[in-house]
Amino acid sequence: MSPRELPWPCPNVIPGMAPLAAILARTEETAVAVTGIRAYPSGFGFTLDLRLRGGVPRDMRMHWPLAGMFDHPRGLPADTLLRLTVEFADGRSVSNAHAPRVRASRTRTARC
Amino acid sequence: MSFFDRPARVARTKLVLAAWHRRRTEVLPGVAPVALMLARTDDTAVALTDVRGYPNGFAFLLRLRWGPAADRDEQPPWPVAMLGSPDPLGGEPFPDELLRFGVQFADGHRVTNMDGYPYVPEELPPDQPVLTEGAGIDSEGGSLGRGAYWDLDQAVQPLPPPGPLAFVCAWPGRGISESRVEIDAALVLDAAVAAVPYFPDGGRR
Repeated sequence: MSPRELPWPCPNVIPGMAPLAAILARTEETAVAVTGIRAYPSGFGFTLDLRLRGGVPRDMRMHWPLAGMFDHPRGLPADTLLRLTVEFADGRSVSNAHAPRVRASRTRTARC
Repeated sequence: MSFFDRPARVARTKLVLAAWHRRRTEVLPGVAPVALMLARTDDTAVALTDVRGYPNGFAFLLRLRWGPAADRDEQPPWPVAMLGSPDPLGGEPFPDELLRFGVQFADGHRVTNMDGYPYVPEELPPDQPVLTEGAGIDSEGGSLGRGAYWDLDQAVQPLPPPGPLAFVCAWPGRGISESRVEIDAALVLDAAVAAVPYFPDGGRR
């Protein structure tokens, strides 16, 4: 089943907002943060904020940085893509590295 | 004034937007636990979520939902006054088909999308709120089943003073009379306090 076939997001629902924003990881050149966690009856969404600065090669600046969402040029090193995993308390998890390819929304909201 | 000088209000607007966009790229905002239904009819809903606090203002997502359209291929109409002009309506009365939306602070200051958005006059007092496009989520819209939606990312500067913070909307063309929902501005102020820079050195490298 494609993620697009899932009943998501709930179109008739205003999501509840979790008052949480956190920087997941940071180096001198890169920051990865999550914010805007929205809870729906059937799941949750969030906004992944990426900030890159400094030595980002010109040919990399326009590439979508998430694996599993877009086709990427052949030869693009796998370690140039961001891996994102969500893990529940019961051990179940989902990763963008293993998810079916879907068209990312303009809101940069991952659909897990 | 030379031939090529721009009106002062244009220069002021650029300054406002530039500062806001710079801030949104440098700071991870705090998030307020706010989700509001501002107004609703049988076929239209106006909601507000994703309230984010920054040191110099706050942003939010205005969520508009249309019920099923008679024409399955009908595109959702753009619901707010056209941007990119200091006089977007050309002096004409504000059409009933466009959403009226505004924010009011506890001290009485208010701003609406009828105030020449996104242009502001040069002499605007610093405590007068300004409504601009949002802070990073981006606006989007499209079909939603047989209905349609717009999610509009909006931002207000500066931060509100303590007290009630009101969101007001009206949409005569969709049967929505003036509706007002208030929250405690502390929710926004707390979110702004929680904002942190992405990089400790402020991103200036």
